[in-house]
Amino acid sequence: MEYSELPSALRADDTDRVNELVKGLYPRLLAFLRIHMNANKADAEDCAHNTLILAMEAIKEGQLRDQERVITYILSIARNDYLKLQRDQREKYLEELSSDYEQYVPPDQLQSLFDKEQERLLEGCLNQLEEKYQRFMQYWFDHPDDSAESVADEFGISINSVWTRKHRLIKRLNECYRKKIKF
Amino acid sequence: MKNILRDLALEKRIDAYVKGQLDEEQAHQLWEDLLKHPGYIELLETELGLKAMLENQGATERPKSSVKEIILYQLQASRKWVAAAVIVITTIVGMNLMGPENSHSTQGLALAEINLRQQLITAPVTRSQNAHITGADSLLNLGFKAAIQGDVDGALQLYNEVVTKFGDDPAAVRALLNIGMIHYNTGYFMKAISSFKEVIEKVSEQPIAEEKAYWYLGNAYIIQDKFILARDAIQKAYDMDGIFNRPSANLLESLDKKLANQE
Repeated sequence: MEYSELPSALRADDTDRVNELVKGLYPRLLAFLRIHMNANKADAEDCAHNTLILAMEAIKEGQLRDQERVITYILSIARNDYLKLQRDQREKYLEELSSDYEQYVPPDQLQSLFDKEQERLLEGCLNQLEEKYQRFMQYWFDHPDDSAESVADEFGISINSVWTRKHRLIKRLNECYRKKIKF
Repeated sequence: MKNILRDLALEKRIDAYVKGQLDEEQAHQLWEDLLKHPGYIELLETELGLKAMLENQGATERPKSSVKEIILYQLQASRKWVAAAVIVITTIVGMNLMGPENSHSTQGLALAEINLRQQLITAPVTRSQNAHITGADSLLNLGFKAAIQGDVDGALQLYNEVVTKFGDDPAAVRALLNIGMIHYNTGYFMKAISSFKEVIEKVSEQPIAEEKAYWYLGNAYIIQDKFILARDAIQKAYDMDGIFNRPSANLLESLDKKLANQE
């Protein structure tokens, strides 16, 4: 999807193209906010909506000078909007707590993207893999500082095969998990 | 999910991201690329879920923490403190530090003070460095803690320690920027200018830090009545097309009027 078309589509009032681009962009922004900014689902949805509105208004007003940088621009808006939301929420919480602020437990831990049920489904998918592949994934995450060379040595395969195997296994797990979650 | 065209370089960056080995700028760049390759976003999500699941299983099976884990826990605890401190400051020293970012000096052009609570840089708390809290990050967080408690000297000492010990680390640039902001708020504008200039000199692939340095440098020059230098710095902040783009445009307009009146 070519997002650099968004500014020209907005300026040309090409509603169909704008809708198409925004429809594609929304879930990706949501993922950015959920995964990278560690936003919960409701906040991510609010911020993604807000970001798209702010970005479109700003682009229409001609504030984006280099349309090739539209993605950078939109991500910056999303990031700032979420940080602002967090600040507002903290301050609101503080007002409510007044002198009792010690009880506040800040959201300092990265939230798990998967709840228990989702984790169970993913575990089921992992258990469906052959044992040697399960061991490969376990080893990969147990040794985050190991280079691909070390992993290649450990499993007696080439470095290229390490990356290919990892990609294929994640892809298989992803497909299995997405299929299960639909039921 | 449709078959995706493989991009090995992108996969390696995703792997580094999942392992918490990217800094915030690199992570941001990665996300720009991921938005153009949505197939990989779905895989990333699954990979993070898998990582968390395997780590949780490992945690329940592991009876004792290793020394490395204990150290990591302690470093992460300092990050927790920062989050808590953000709350505490509003009641302790907020009166001094919480001026709005757009409060202006008597000249009506430059910022009267910098909102340190919002602008001081701490260690990133996003996923990019989840598993990689460094000593420099920890010192940055302690510096923030000191600054918001009003212990300006303590904060400066900690930030200087980051600069001295971690000269090549991006954290050193962040520390320098924080030093500049503290000097700005305490009225040591020459020192602030010197710090911001050093940030600009040393910064590499940290556009947000660079933009902030130009923006605050310009403001410090205004306070010193060095309007041509100020204009040059603000123009650079404006050209970076980031978070200070709009205020820079407004300030450039005001500076141009001021300079025209002086002629």
